Amino acid sequence: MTDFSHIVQFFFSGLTSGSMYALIAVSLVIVYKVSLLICFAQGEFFVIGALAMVTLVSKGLPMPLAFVLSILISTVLGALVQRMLIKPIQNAGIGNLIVMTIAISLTLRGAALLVWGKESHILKPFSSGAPIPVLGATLQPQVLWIISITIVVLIMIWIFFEKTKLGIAMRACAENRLGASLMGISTDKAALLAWAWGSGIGALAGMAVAPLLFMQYGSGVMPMVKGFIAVSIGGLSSIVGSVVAGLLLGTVEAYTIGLISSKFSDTIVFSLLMVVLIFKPSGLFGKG
Amino acid sequence: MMLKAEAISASYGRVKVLKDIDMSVESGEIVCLVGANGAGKSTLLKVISGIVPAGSGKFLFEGQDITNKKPDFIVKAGLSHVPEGRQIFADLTVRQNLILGSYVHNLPKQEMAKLFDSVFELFPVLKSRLMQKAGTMSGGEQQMLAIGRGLMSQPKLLLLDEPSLGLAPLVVETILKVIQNLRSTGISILLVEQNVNAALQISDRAYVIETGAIVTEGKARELMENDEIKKSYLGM
Repeated sequence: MTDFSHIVQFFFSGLTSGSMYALIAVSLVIVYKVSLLICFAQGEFFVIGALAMVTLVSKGLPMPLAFVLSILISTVLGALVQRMLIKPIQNAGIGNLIVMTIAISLTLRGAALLVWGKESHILKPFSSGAPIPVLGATLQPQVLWIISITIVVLIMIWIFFEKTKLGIAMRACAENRLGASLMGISTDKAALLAWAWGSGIGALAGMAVAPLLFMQYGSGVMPMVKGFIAVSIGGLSSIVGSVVAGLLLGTVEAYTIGLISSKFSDTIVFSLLMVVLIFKPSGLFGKG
Repeated sequence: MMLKAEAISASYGRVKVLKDIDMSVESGEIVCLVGANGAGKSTLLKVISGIVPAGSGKFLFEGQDITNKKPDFIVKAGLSHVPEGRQIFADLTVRQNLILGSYVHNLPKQEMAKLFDSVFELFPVLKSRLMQKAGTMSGGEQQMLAIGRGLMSQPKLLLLDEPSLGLAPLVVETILKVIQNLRSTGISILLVEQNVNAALQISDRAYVIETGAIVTEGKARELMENDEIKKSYLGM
């Protein structure tokens, strides 16, 4: 039988993958809100952020500097992708744009294969220290990092989109393009910023979990799928919804793996998605 | 001269919607554009504010060429466009809507507070709705917000597109009064309005547009006496 310490342990692993899904989901929502487009390349920014940090640390850079630089690299990459590949075809129709993001995803994955090879890389934890015993379970210090990073990012996003003029302007672009243009808000600039932010947050998710996973060029695929499921469950344009759904998804997955079998975890996650989509097609927190 | 349009033309694809428009708004004037649906009034406003490109011709705003400049340049120059259908940000609060009205200016807090106050003076109801989502307000309140938002950029010329459309008569009266008040504070106004009778009563001059071209122009009072106008637009 499973005892209580196992239940706690599953909760920790649920929280870990849940935070990761939540961050990816948030990065998807930010791009979606401004561009009305799901960026299927988000999983690659997840990988590139993590692997860039692995490389920078292996070159002897201190952790904090490697951390900041990796975010910067991914942010700039996201901005470049938007300017060079998305903006030129922005009026081509949503189908073409989605295919373009899939093409970008495959291209970036190929580029990651060239740069980092097929092998898996592991990043050392952000801080050293022994696992912390909690109620008979053990908590890796890195999990605390993941949770703190998630909380800090969410607070920053909330402040940005609620309190700063630029953030409010970006929401206005998403809601009413004509209205925003008449205020002198550049919808081009808003889309660029959304991609930069989104890529940075996607990368951050990858960097935070890299010490717990073996990261290689193709590691972004499943997190991207799970992040997308979280967005669909939570509601496409709801940041709160995608965070709740991401955490829910991670927890359900962890308990399924722990209490039933890892073979069933994807089945249960996809069933959950289907149930939500049937009864509330716009997602739990979506409108309309 | 506040605004001068010289031989402005514009097209949607192959369809010419504006043909050789010559018009002007003097400083301190209320000028009204009269015409049937689809005559090109809204398009003319959109071309002025840089949303729809002009195919040919020239706009001078206080002597400065603003033809086909980006909307942010035009707003910064002192021209604000309150569009048809209001186009407020329904999901943002009233306060956030107003803040975006002065997006192009980076104003210190005190100046923002002053601007807010001047908007509340015109539309006191907005003050009590500050933290409410704009989409939850009545149509009249949303129109007030749209005008208030337009004023937050401190315009010298305000373009108003159908400000009374779909509103209750009492609200229409309030809005018309506000337009007259604005003129007395020195803001010039270019007005597009379905309610031609009311519009002509508060306007100094008017242009009549038919299928993209100006067919008649003159003092508002004289146009009200014009038989043709009476028959076509005033229902007399």
